[in-house]
Amino acid sequence: MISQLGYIAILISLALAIYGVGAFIYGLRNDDYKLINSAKGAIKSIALLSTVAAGVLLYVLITSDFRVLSVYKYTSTDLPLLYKMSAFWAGNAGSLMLWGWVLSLFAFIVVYSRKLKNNNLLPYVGLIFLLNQVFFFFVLCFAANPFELNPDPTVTEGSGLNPMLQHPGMIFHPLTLYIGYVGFVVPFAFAMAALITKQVDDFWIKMTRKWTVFAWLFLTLGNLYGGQWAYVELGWGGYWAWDPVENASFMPWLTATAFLHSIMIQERKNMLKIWNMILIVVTYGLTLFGTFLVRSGILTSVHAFADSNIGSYFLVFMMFMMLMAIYFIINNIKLLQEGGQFKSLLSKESSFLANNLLLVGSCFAILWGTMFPVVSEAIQGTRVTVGIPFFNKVNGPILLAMIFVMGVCPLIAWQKSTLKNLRDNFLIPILIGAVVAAVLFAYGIKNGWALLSAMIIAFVFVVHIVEFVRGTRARMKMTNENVFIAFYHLITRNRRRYGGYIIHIGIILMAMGIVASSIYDAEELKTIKIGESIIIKDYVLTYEGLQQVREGVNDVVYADISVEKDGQYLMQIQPEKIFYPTWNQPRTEVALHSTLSEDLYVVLSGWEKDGSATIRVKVNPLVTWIWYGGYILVLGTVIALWPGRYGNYVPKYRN
Amino acid sequence: MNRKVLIGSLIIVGAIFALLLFATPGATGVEVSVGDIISSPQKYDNKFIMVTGNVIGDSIYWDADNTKLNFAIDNEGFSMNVTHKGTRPDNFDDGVIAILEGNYDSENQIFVADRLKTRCPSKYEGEEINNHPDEIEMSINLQQ
Amino acid sequence: MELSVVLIGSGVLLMVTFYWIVKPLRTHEDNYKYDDEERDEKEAIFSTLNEIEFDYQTKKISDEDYQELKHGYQVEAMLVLKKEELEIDNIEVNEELEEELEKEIERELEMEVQKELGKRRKVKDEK
Repeated sequence: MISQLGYIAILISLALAIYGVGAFIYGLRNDDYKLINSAKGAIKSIALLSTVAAGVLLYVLITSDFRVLSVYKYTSTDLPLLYKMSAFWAGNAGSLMLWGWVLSLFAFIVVYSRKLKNNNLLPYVGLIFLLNQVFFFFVLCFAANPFELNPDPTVTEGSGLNPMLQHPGMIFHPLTLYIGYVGFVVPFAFAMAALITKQVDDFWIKMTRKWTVFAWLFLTLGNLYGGQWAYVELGWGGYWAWDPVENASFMPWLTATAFLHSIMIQERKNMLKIWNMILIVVTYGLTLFGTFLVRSGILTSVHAFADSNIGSYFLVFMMFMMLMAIYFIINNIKLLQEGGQFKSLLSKESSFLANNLLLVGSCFAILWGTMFPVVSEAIQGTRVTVGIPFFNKVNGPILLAMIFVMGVCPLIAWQKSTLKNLRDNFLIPILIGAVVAAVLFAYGIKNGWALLSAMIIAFVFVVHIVEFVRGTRARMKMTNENVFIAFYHLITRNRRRYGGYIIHIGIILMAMGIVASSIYDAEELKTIKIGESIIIKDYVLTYEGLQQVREGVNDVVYADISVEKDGQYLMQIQPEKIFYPTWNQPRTEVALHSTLSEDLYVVLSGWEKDGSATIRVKVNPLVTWIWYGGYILVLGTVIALWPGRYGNYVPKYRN
Repeated sequence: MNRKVLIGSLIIVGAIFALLLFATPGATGVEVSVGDIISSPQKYDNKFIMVTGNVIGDSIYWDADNTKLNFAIDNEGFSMNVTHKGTRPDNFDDGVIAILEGNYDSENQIFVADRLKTRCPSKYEGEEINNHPDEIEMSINLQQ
Repeated sequence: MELSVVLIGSGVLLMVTFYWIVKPLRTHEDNYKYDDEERDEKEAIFSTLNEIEFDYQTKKISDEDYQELKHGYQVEAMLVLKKEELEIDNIEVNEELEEELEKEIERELEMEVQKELGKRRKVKDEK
């Protein structure tokens, strides 16, 4: 049936990928451009084939063709269309199909881009892409087949999608995350090509700059959507639990952020070449590792979980790619060591280095905490657990220090600055930071971490605002433009820098939200009778009764609660439990009232025969700042990525 | 490389390692089997440990007024009573895998779980982890 | 019905991919060569000068450093402009030439470089 077409498509893709690898290698060895072009053709074909395969999978999902196992496992006829489609990536096979498809599209776009035509890096870039495609299509064809047939083709209804996944967050989270992951294959491929062709200057960085930022943006979004989904869906009141699955996608983000910054140093001063190579290899490796962690079962605390072969295949492929990368780096170590040096401690380069060390340090700490249980079990036989406090204790200071560096860095120039200039520029922002902290203290905030964070965040904020002000003024002086045009041109002619500053502002807003909601959240958990109330902070929640209603095919039970704030009636709030026909357990629907200052978070945990209900209430301060900070971050990235005539030439600093 | 830059870098790296070493002992707990606890309960008194087992459906008792969930788990032939101050997870049923973190009270022969995580057993039609994200229940007032 | 879709679909895919792979093997390109990527030195140096000026105006570097950096890069800018003018591929920079250049710089540099910088800034305006 139709799904066979999908399987045929991925089979041919695998064959073509293998052919392409051979054609590239043979063509390069013998300077045979015909073979190289043929391999390019293979990349184009795989892009088409994988799109057909993805299309077929989507088709069988939408038409609820239960003869296909994935459709049976993850959908049911009554599932809303949108979720029938997002069931695409609900399981292992589907997610790997998504990965393979995006990879093939990106490979095609890169290899056929105008900029790369006749470039001597191209065959090597194509080769790296194809190696990845060989792996993914191999796994898809033989270990995790999205088109696997249902052993019972006569079945007329599916198992249904886990209700927890029936949420917009679960449409965007996997999609954006995988686009981010695959995006980093691009700079990785170029890095390898640069090493093989011994062109280790910044050309490969220039070519992949936009890809790097693009991939970073989606990786950020992927992490954000994950946190948002957890917050709204899992019902325990938080957005991040340092779960291995969460850590798996956060670690590459950290090294990717470091990479994003340190390539700027290489472009300007021709230094840190080895470091950049290592960073991109590690980032790429972590994206594979992250997928491996989540899909192989290695991190489960229970040994009873069946482990399919996927885990071992991933391990082998990762080791192969990492060893290959290390080999190429070592081969070129002399070449990579040439270049600029750190001339002065007080330079932008040094502050970027500090930022890098902190980011990588945080990544290492998270890796440590995530793998410690696995390693200790392998060595000692007992599995140690690493809890949330560990991650908070270690990452809190590191990330706070990083935010501080984020504020210091714009105050320093490239190559050289003097202490006096730094002091002068540092003084007012830090004073304002201290004032903010003092005001908060007077307001009642006594927690040391909260005050310190507030001070640093305010400091960074002021520094960035001043950057915009000073920049506009300087431009006005240098070009005689008026203030509005100068401001506009300042940003549009220096998109990377000022887009970057806007991204920073987004980050500190998120940081403020994270600090406040972590330290000052309040919680109450009570079973109350009809008419009774729960008091939390300045809210009074009165339980008025339990109702049941039918929504489509689902039964919804909700608690009707009236909320008073500061003595005034605010609103009705209705936390729910939704019962799905195809699922044994209900799903908790959190009732959320978000304002800029705090979130009122209410969960209906359960109810008794006498009508009394168990209600969990949380008040989380500043959570919306996290999401708004995210939006600003996206805005800044779009500005930084926007194509334009200016800013294409990077200043070069010599020693 | 510039001397000062090198020293500065080493300071940062050193500080991070120091943080790791300092934070590791206090925030980690050892996983112990139900059998170990039952056979030598005093050994684990006052120690923060992690235990895993299958929930015994008949033993589930939800004390709504005190928001306490009492149940028993078994693993490899041994069973143990558990109490958890918090709510009953949506998927809490017979056979569900419970991952508990807390202390064993040998006097009352009950495990006080601060943190309760549940996972669907693989026997549910071979579902992979992704289709059954963990339910995390944390005891209220578990601040740090 | 479905079987025919699968068969036809597979057939089409196979043909298209076959074509895309085989055609390049039979196409002869006479002058296939690798392009040399442009590494635009001139633009880079002027970017640097612009940035130094900007950093000075926004008070990131001291007067001293500003003068020193500016002077150094202006020498380089001068060299690049001269290269362009004379269309010489390699200028050997030895002591004498550098001294000579520095003298000339005292005289002409400010004007010349400022003119180039001004051109760039104005161009941005006109658009």
